[in-house]
Amino acid sequence: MSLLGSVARGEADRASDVDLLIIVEEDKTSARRAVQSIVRDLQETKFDGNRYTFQPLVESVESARRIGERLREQFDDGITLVGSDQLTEVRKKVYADGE
Amino acid sequence: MVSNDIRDDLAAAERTFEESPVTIEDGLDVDDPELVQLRRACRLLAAGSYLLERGYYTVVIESSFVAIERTIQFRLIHDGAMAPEGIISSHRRLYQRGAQAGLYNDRFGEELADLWNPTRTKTYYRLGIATEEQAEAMHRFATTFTNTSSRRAG
Repeated sequence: MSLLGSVARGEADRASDVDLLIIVEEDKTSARRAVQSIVRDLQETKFDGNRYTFQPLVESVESARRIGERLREQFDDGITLVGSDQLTEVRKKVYADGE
Repeated sequence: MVSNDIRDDLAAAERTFEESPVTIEDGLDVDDPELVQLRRACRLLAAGSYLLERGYYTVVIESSFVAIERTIQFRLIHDGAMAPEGIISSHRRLYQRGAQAGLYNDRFGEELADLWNPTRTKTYYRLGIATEEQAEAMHRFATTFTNTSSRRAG
C-alpha cells in the first residue's frame, strides 16, 4: 500500500484528498469492495476534528503492470506505507517495462 | 435563425432549474442524496415499463441506460466513493468509477460502456432503429441491475 499525490509530496492542505494505491494479489473486484467499505468508515471518522476524503486506487499485480506508465509517475512521488516483497517486485517490473 | 419566442422559452426553461423547487415529482421529495438517485432509477424503470407496453421502444432503451447510471451513482454515494454533489459527465467514466469501487469488475464496466456507445448513439441519430426486442432486453437488464445493486447496499 502506498500513499500518493499531494499528501505524499507534502503539498496537501486540509481539503486535499488522501490518494492511496493498493496492489492486491487476489481478486481485484472483491478487494475494491472491501477497500471501499473501509474508506467509507474512514471518511465518517474525525481525525483531530477533521474529516478527510480518501481516493483509493486498487489494482492487481497484473493490472498494475498494464497501467505501468501511469504508476511510474505515482511511484516517483509515493511513500510506501505497507511494503512487501511482492510490492518491491511490482515496482521493479513497472520501472523495467518503461526502459 | 432562432426566433425570439424560442429564446424566451429557453430562458423560461433555464429559470425553472435555477429557482427553488415548486411542485416536486412524487417519490423524489427525500433529503437523502443517495436515495434521490435510487428513487430516480426506480421511477425511470416504472416509466419504462409503462412505455414498453405502448410501443415507445426508443425512450425505453434511453431510460434504461439512465436508470443504470442513476443506480451506479446511488451506490457510489452510498459507499463513499463519490460526493453527493459530485458530477461525472462522461458515461464511460461513470461506468469505470463503478468498477473502481468494486461494484462489478473492469470487464463488466467496459461492456456497459460499449453497449451504451453503439446502442444509444445509433438510437439518437436514427442510424439504428429501436426494436421491441432491444427495449425488452434493456429494460430487463436495467431492472435486474437496479434490484441487485440496491439489495447489496442493504
